Amino acid sequence: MYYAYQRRIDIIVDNIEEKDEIDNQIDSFKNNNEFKIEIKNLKKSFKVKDKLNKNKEVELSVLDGVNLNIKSGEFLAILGPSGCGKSTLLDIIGGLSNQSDGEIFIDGKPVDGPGLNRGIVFQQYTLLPWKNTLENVAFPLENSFNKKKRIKIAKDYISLVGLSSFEDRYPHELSGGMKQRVAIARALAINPEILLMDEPFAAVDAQTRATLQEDLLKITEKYKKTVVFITHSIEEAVFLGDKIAIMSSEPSTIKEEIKIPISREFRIIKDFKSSTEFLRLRNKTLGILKEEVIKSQEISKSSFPNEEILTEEGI
Amino acid sequence: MILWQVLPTLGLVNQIFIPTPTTILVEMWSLILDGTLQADLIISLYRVVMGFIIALLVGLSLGFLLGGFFKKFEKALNPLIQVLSQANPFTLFPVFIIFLGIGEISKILIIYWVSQWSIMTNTITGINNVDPIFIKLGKAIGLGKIDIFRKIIVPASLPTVFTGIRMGAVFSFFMLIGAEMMGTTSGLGYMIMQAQNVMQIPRMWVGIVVVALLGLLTNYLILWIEKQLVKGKEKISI
Repeated sequence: MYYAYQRRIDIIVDNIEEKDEIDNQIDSFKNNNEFKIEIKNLKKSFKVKDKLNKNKEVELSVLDGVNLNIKSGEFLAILGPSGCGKSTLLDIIGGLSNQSDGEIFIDGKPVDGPGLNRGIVFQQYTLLPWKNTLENVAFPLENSFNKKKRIKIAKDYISLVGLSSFEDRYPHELSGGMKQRVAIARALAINPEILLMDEPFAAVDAQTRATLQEDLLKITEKYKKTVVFITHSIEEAVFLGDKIAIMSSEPSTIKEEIKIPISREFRIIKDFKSSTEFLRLRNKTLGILKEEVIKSQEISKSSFPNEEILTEEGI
Repeated sequence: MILWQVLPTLGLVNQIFIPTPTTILVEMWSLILDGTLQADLIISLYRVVMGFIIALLVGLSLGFLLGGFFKKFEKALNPLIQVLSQANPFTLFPVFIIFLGIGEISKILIIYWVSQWSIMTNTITGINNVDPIFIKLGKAIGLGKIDIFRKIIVPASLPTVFTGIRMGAVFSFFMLIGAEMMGTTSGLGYMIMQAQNVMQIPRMWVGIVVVALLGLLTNYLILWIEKQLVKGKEKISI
């Protein structure tokens, strides 16, 4: 009896000590790196052929001084008019292309090429068609684990996205929503701290989309991932994001950041999408975005003067 | 098959020129018994297999090198490849004989020469048509250049590569018979030509049937290998 009592005390004391230690660690972490991802005055321009003089190359500025700070564990949704360079921004964070100017830090270190601390989910279906679900999820682990370990990890993540019974199916035997679930499992399998998602649910039907959103929110909450999620759907951004960054039309900057003051638990459990708070946030976001969409359309009109003349003549 | 058997038997088609399948089978059996068919078959197979294997080795390695690693070089070389692959191989055969003599080497090499182009060009096309998003994915998960090539580009281009290999096999049989008709004293092509010259029509048909069967067999063999290697290919039916 006494021993049992003593043991319980020991465990409690241990736990308290452990907790203190963790708290200390968290504090020091917070002091050193307040932000998981820091983007400072990021610029990107491409060389394109001039429309009038084909031999001349002109600089097309896509990103013009993007500043963004993303906290550890935060879910950031990026919204913007189409063609405003959202994907370019994500590519640069992922290390898949280089910025023209400016700096980008992850955990205080400048980004230098792709790395396994970032998992990327693309807009297009990117499952390798010659591999089945299990092999696809295990694919990024090939250089780091032996076969047995790989399969175990892959199986865990496949069951996490609810596709355990589809392990040996090939991509062409899966629906669009399932393919993106597998892609998410693959991105999570390398256990990255950051998830970069480029309109992953754009090609999925509305019902599937809603369940995918909920599942994504649960998973990222459970595993404390920092997420950068690009979308062109305002509802999606308001539902998923802890913070929404709205990009201006090309050349882009971050026009405004909106905090979503609603906890994730509430968003998942309660019927957040039909609440008045959701509508209020949606309309606020829509108002800001609308200006940018109109502006971006004006830009594209003025850059094709010939086309306009043609249609006028046609009428 | 039934028509083929019935029409000559009824006398609607001249039996001398198109004998019935049974006549051909009987002739084939007698040729097998005296060993001439096997001898011709083996020498022909030796030529076509050697030529085709060299074409596979050269065509695949050049194709993967040019398509995967030396894209600019491939672009510069492309017109030359087009001209060489378009040159009619039968006109080139005398050139090969002049340089290499009338022996086995010239035959094997002309077969290689003809079948390498479709293998090479299809490999290059296959690599060029790999969806860039897969390469982006490879980079994103931290694969190096060689791993991207090995684990993504090669498997992704395999279906197109196999189309090239199958076409190459067809060409190699074309050229085998052509070469054997032009300058040999052995092989199936020679057997067909010789039988026709001395009006042994059933014997000629035996040769034609054997060549057709060989082509069919090769095609199925390559399809079978493809099925083992290329996984997850969607079956399309209209």
